[in-house]
Amino acid sequence: MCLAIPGKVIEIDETIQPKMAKVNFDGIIKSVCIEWTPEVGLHDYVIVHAGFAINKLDEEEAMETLKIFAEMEASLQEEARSMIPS
Amino acid sequence: MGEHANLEKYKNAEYVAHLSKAIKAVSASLGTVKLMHVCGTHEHEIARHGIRQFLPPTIQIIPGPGCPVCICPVESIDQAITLAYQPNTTVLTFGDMVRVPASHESLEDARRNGGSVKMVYSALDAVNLARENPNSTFVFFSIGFETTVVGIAGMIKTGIPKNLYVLLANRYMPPVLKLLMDVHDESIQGFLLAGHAATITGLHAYDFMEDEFQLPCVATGFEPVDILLGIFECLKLIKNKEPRIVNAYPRAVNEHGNTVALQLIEDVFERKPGIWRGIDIVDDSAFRIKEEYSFLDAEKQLDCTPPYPPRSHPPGCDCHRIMLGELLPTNCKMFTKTCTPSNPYGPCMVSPEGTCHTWFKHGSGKISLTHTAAHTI
Ligand code: SF4
Repeated sequence: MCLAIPGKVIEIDETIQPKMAKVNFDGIIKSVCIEWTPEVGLHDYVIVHAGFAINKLDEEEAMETLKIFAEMEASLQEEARSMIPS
Repeated sequence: MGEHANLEKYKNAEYVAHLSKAIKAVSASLGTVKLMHVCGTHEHEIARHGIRQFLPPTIQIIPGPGCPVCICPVESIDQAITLAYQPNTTVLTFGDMVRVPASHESLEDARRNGGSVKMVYSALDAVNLARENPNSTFVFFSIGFETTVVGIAGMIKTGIPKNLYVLLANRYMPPVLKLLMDVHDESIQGFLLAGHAATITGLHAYDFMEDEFQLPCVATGFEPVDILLGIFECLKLIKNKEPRIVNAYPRAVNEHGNTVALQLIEDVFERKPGIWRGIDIVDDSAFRIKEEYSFLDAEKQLDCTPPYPPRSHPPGCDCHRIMLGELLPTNCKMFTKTCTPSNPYGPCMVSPEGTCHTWFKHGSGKISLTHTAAHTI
């Protein structure tokens, strides 16, 4: 019922109500209702609960969050430098 | 295909190692810290990926009441079972729900004993089945948190066939945090909020945790990097004495949630106090069908009163205390012995989102409550 893995929208059928999409979860294709997530488009990654998409995963935000690792890398290097006896 | 940030990068082992180091550093001056998550999928992913091994022993991540199948009140399952025995009536529900032991039997037992029960994958299947069989009565037994309530709200709003009724046992997550604060005598120092529930409600729904309890809460995703990032952010807030609500899962969660979904939910449902199985009545936490749609409300239109009183948990099963974070599955004498996923004795062993089931399958990845809730019992 509750899936942690996002799926990729590979096909949208606008002709039926509620709006349906084919979503690929790691090779398993499922029919998913996307009527109540109007921002979802083709190739988006969506989070699905019990057959309904509840939101999409924003790729830009995903990249933004990962910037923290660049900062961590920098502070680790800083730390390493400060540990070298002068 | 290139690496997609939404998938592969959040499983990256290097990032996991970075976070593990950063968590160690930030927690060095903190002593024992007890964080709770409130999502069965979080526990599942934490155990499956062995996330606890990346944490110092002083950082305890306690599973809370995040399994929708486990907290579904026995009274509602008894109602569903009663309906399954009505002539020409079929109860439709999710696979996880069918094997959950209720007061006398499970829905699966009821089916064996002549009741009519079918598993469905979603509310859409229920609508289709009812359409294809217009001379039979169907009841969709709806359970889950705000994530699953959206679909059923949408279907009701769109219009469902006349021969389909809804038995609604869905629960709303935010208010249970207040109860948990109380139970743990405020010893929990932070919450990892369920990322997908927060996707619907938005962070906003948890503002009271900052206003009333001054407790750090972090909306957390489900990949290994997401979970460690949530823990890291929460520890940072604790260290800096900043009791804020922070979003560590911004690719799915925002401040105001899925506004289309929220509007739908508001149009169709209202919220009342509701039972969480074996735990308590939690104010404002039970979705109810609005009067305007009472024509499809199974509780109002069909005879679903069981001929016996409710019995919350089978004797000796401590599921409810596990859901409150007071005990762990390993504290239960039946765990892995007389209670297993193929022969579940209590609700927490049935669903893959239940802590007992998860620990049976994947182990706990090191956790003990010796410094924490076990003391208070
Ligand atoms: S192991 Fe079984 S009996 Fe024990 S608490 Fe878990 S579900 Fe209940």
